[in-house]
Amino acid sequence: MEPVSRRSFLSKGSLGAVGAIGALSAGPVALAAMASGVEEPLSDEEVSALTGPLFLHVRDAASGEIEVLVDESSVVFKDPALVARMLRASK
Amino acid sequence: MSSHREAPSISKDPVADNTDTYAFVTPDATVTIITNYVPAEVPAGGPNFYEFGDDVLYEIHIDNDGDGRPDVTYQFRFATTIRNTDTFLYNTGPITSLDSPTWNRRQTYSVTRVDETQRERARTTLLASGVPCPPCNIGPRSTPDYPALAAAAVTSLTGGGWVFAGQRADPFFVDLGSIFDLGTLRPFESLHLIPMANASGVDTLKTSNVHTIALRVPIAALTRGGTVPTDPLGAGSVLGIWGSASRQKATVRTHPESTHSAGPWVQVSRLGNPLFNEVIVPMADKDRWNALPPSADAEFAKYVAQPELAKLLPVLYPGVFPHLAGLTADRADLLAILLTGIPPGIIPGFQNFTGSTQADMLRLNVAIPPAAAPNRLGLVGGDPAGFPNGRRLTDDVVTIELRAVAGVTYPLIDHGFVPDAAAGAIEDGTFGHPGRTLLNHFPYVGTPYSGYDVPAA
Repeated sequence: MEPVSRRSFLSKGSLGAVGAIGALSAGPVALAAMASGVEEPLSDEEVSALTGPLFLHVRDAASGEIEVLVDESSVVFKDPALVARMLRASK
Repeated sequence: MSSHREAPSISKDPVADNTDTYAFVTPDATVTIITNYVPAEVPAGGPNFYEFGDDVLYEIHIDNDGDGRPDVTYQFRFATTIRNTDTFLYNTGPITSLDSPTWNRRQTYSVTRVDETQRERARTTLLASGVPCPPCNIGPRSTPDYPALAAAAVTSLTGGGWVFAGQRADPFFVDLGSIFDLGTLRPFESLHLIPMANASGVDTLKTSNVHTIALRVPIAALTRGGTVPTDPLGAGSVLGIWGSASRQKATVRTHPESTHSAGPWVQVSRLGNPLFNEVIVPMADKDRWNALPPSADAEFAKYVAQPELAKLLPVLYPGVFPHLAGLTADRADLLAILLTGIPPGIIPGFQNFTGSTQADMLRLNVAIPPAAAPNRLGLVGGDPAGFPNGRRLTDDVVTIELRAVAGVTYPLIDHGFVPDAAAGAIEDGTFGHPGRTLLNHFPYVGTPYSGYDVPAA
């Protein structure tokens, strides 16, 4: 995954930021890859599957707990590294 | 008001504000359920006249096993379209039909039924889509035959029944101006702590509109096992009913005219028994109550058991309610009426008990047929077809609940308790406003007031 600067994070907006973790809903394998810091590029199919907004809600920065809001559902997972990158990007 | 602007958060979100819920048995073994939203609409409120929210999930819930959770839910989702982007007007000529080309901004909606069972995942069934709402009632030039427009918007549902969604005259009646002025009841205000001359009640909502969702469906579509109960004392004869509105968990505004929402639906408003959140739940807990399901209402039972209003009446009307002032026991009568239903054996031939789960729902015994001559005081007036057995449009729920809180129903629990004479007489004096008309057919709620005619010259 390419580093997320404040400028690139903000310019990508919610959809861009979400695109990077849209694969999380794919299941435990994707979650494990995210937790390890290794992220496979999204396939065209995965990108096209995202047809609406997807939001991230950092529920607990200390534990890295994030809630992904997409369609009419939510997925909660922990990724302290991603939370750290987002927080630092927002400074 | 019953639940118009009754909680701090929802008072800032009128499109999602569930103001009243009604449920009553109708002919041909059907039940009609009405939920109203968008409180205190000013009829002339153009050019952006009132409408449902495209970003709101409106629901009617039915509990048929007494656990305070929905077994059947009807969901309503709205979509708005603008026909002419070059005008600021709602309509550019008379609206004579639901497809009039001069009607610029219109809404349609879908109806989905959700069946929840313990043995399987929720089953959803689309009952109707693209159903048109009628326009708002603008005036004699814009909506020259409003009743015909509304009648055309009554739509049959797959599986039986009818649905209607659109503007109607608010059927609720209450004297807000006096009640919120330190609990004044104008017909009795000479007895108030700060006395004034007695006066007639003023119906604050007598020319207000609301947005109504009305559903008439077979009883068998709602009961456990698909039965049509005929024994009022049978356990399966009582339905718990309430309305709600929900918004998605997150919304982002990317441009002034563009918003995006995602995430699960979060309930922001609900309504079962009239006035429950309004006058029972303290202000600090009202938003929380709106977000919870009825199955969680045990935490609010303490407010029913010791209602604040029962303590205020003897203070606001010195010497008028001495027996009420001495009543310190928990109000088992109110707990039954509002949270569990009235068990068999209390009132001969009647019950609307749903079990021990404390849940604020309208409880409708569908085995009790409609009354030939409805009494506005419902069960308190000897009419078992009325509130708190469901709720009809004509039930004077303000008076019924005022009198119940004042002690008239406590002898059901304690035969030795003698209510104060005033308890059986108090009312806000708004029943029977001459301008308030209802239909004698579905959707029953009256034609909305037009912006041209209200306020009158």
